[in-house]
Order: sequence, then structure tokens, then C-alpha cells
Amino acid sequence: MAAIIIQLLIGGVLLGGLYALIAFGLSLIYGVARVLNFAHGTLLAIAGVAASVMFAAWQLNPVLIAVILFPVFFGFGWLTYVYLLEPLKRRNPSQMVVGTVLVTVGLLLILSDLGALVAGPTSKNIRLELQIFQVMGIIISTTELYILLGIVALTLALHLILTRTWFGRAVRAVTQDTVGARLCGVRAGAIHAATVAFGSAIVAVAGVLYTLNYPINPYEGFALTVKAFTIIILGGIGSLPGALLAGLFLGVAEALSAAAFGGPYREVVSLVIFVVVLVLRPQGLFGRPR
Amino acid sequence: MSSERAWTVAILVGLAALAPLPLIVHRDDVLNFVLLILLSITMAQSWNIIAGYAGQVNLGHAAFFGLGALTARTLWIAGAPILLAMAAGALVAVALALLIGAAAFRLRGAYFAIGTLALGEILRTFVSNTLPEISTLPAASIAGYRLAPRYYLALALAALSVIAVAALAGSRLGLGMQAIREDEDAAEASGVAALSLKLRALVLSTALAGLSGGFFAYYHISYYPSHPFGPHWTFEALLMTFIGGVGTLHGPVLGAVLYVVLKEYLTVRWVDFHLLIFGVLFIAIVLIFPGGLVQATEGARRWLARRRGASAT
Repeated sequence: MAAIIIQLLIGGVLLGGLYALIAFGLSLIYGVARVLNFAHGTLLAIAGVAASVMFAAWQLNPVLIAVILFPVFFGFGWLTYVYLLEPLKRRNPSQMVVGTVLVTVGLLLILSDLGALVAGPTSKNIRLELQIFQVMGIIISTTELYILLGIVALTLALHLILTRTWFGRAVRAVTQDTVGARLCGVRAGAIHAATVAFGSAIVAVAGVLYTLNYPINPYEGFALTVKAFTIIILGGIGSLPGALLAGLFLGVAEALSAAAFGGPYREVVSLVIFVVVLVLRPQGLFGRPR
Repeated sequence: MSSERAWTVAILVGLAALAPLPLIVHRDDVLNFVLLILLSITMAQSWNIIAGYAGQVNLGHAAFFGLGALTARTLWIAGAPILLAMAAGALVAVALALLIGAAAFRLRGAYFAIGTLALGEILRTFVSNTLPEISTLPAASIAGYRLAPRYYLALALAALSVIAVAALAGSRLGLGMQAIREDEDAAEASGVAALSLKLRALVLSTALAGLSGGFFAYYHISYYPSHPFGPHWTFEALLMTFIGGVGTLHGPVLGAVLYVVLKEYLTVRWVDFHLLIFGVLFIAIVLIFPGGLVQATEGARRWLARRRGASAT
């Protein structure tokens, strides 16, 4: 019994950690550039499909694939911000919000169809040769260990970048007080663009990790975007540790409830958690009221 | 103000002119097409109330449409009169909206937008998991199915939504909502009860969405119960309102007409790539027409007036 629960916990932590990685980029992009990026999960799906295709074609090491995809998605994010989102900043607030939603939804539709056109609409993943360890009745595969390692490494890297580098300080300065940051010589526009680019690059790496274990197709991104938004609310908008904890919490809750009540009811559990948190603690489990 | 009244009259006259259509035209495809435009007008206007007037961007409008459809369909098939079933659907939608609104409106920023989005998607997955079977009317109802009453109901709902927005736009309530949209702090400082007004806008908006959902349940012979919860209901309402002009009376009507015509044309002409084309369309419209058709035509009119003034001198 204990082994089964631990087994479920491992699955939940794995999925929850991946949810958190998606939420990081989304939360960063919203926190800094004030853009609700609906194409975020679709970027993960496209990166995952691209990684699977590259792996199938050339047997590249997934780490190398991530290294290749990172700058590509960084550039894509930068161009998206400069050409599609920046022009909306000059409009009045409600037109800007609706505008960014429509532009990113448009991007989602384009990316999904293009991805399916190029790589086909079927689900794909990276098929590494599995090695399975069994410790005290608990089964762990090497891919699961790699994913776990990847999640930890990416989270740590993100934390260090945001707290220890000039870029991180500039990002936090722009988030807290755009005008003040500008007065100190930080070019807020460039920081916005860099954040969207950086968030897109992170989600591409998350996509590689995701496809190590879960197959994905170009149309599945929207569900992940919504999941990540749910996590951002649960964790508190703008709080990265909150997003990590909320992601793990949701992943574990889904895994346990699916085992206890059956697959269809995992969504009920997320619904109940979500509504209860929103009603009792709207600033999120770990956020501070603003 | 006077131009708004003129638009109200013009739109209502236009809708009234559509009333004899089932008597003149006996082609179901034409009636279905007009009916789709009417449903779209209602959805766009209802979204326009909460987002365009009160400035609260609702990204889960489909949740309320879907709840209205689910409730109305269940009650109607169980034997309740359709209008009663639709009213019940609207009530359920409003009840959920109040629960979410009361929570999310306590905080500023994106909480309401993200909260409604997550709510809609979670509800959709839940309904598709728990009610995976297609919902089809009983054989007796199919035999008695007539398009004309559906058409008139859609017409009545569209007129209702236009009248609701027209009544709201000039009223104290509507002005308060617009004040919140422009600057919530300043509005509260001037004595606008922001929370209460936002909730009232939400109730009006989701009641219309719930009624539209009920209409959907009455109109379609068979559909998957999760279909009305689909996110495209939300994003289409958003796009139609944006095409016309967010926070204007006639914008959503113009936007709905234009969007439905365009969509029918594109899906027939380009079946394979229609998502791709819609994506390009979404982006192009937003970047090219910042304030929608309403602002674009106003700009054009001003430009013409200036040219006329220049040539006169």
C-alpha cells in the first residue's frame, strides 16, 4: 500500500513539476510584460513535437536538442513581442488586454496548424531506451530520473538568473515599478521583449522534458496553458515559488484522485481545489494580498 | 448620446425587418445563417456588457453559455416548457458567476480573466468526461421540429441584448461601469460602488449568455454536451466585439455580422487550413483596426470632413 502511494506520488511530482515549468514562463511573461500568453502551452507542444522529430531522425541527445531549441524559441518569443505585442501597448488598457488575448490566440491557431502541417497531427514523443530500477517495490525508469533532474536543474537555473544576474534584477525592477526602473537606466521595452523571449525559451526546454515521458501533438497546447494559468492563480500571481508548490500540489492531487476515484474525476478535484482556493484565499495559496 | 440612440433605433428596425423572413424565404440554409448571426449578436453583446462596459475581461464566457445549455436541455427533455427551462439555465449560470465574481473581484488585475478561463476549461473537461454520449432529442420532438419558432426566439434574444446594452449605456449604472473601466480607484473615490456594479454587470452578462445557451439547446437536434463549453464560444464573442468596437453599442452587432459572413465563406472555401487562416485573421484585425470598425469609420468620416473643409477654402 505504501509503495503504491509513493509510486503515485512520484508520478504526480513528475507531472506537477512539468506543470510548474510551464507556469514559470507564463507567470514571468504576465508579471513583466502584462501579456496573457495563450500560445504558451502551444509553444511547449511545438517544441515537444520538434524534439521528437529531431530525435527520431538523427538520434540526437535530448540535452543537445534542448540546446538547439533554446535560441530558436528565444528568437521567436522576441520577434513575437516586438512585432505583434509591443504595438498593442500604446492602446487603452481594455483594448490592450483584449488585443493581446486575440493576438496570442491567433498565434496558437497558426502554430497548431503549421505544426500539424509540417510534422503531422499525431502524438509523438522521444523514445529513449528505458532502464528500470526497482527499489523496495517502487519502480522508477531512467527517463523519469532525467525529467526530475531536468526540472530541478531548470528551476534552480531560473532562480539564480532571477536573483543573481543583472537581467534578473532588471526584470524584478520593471515588474515592481516600470517608471522607477526607467529612471535608473533600465530600458523597460527591451526587458519586456527579453522576458517574453526567455519565457518562450524555458517552455521549449520544458517541452523536451515533457516529451521524454508523455506523447504530445500540436493541438494539445491549450489545455496545458489553462493548467498553467490555474497554477498561477493557485500559487499567487507573480510568485515563482508559489507556482512551483502549486504545480506539485496539483500534480500530486490529480495523481492521487485519479487513482482513488478513477480518471474522469481528476478534473473534478482540480475544479474543487480551484474554486475553494479562489473563494477562501483569492490571492493564492502562497501569494500576498495586493 | 444622440448617435447612440440613432444606432439603437437603426439596429432594432433592422431586426424588425428580419421578422417576416421565414414567411418570405422558405430555404432553411438562409434561415439558419441569419439565426447564426442573431445568436452571435447576443453572445457578443453579452460579453460586451462585462468586458466592454465594465472593463472586466471574461475569458470563460463559454462556461455560462454551456451551463445554460446543459440545464435547459436537461429540463426541456424532461418535459419543462422551453422558456422556463431557458430561464432556469440562465439562473444556474448567474449563480456560478456570482460565486466566481464575488471571489475574483476582490482582487485586481488578471484574477478575473484567468479565473473565468480556468473555470470554463475545467467545466468543459468535466462535462466531456462525465457526459461523453451525444445528446439527441427524443424521436417525438424531432418529428415536431420547426425552424421558425427557433428563428423568432433568436431574433427576440438578439433584440433583448441590444435593448439591454442600450438601456445600460446611458444609465447611471452603465456610466458607473464605464468609470470603473477607465479608472477603478478614481471611480470609487467618486462614490461608485465598484464591487456591486461589477457584480451587476456580470449578472446581466451571464444571464444573457445562459439564455443563449438555452437557445442553443433548443435549436440543435443533437450535439455533444461538452460542445457549448468549448473555448471558441468565448474567443469568438471576444473577436466579434473587437472587430466592431469594444464598449460600443453597435460595434458588436457589426462585428457579429461581418465575422459570421467571413467565417462561413472561409470555412467553405478553405476547409483544410481554416484554423491557420483564422489565426492570421485574429492577428491582422487586432493590429490593423485598434478600435474596431466603429473607430475606423469615425476616422474615415473625420478624414473626409477635413478634406471637404480643405477643398472648400
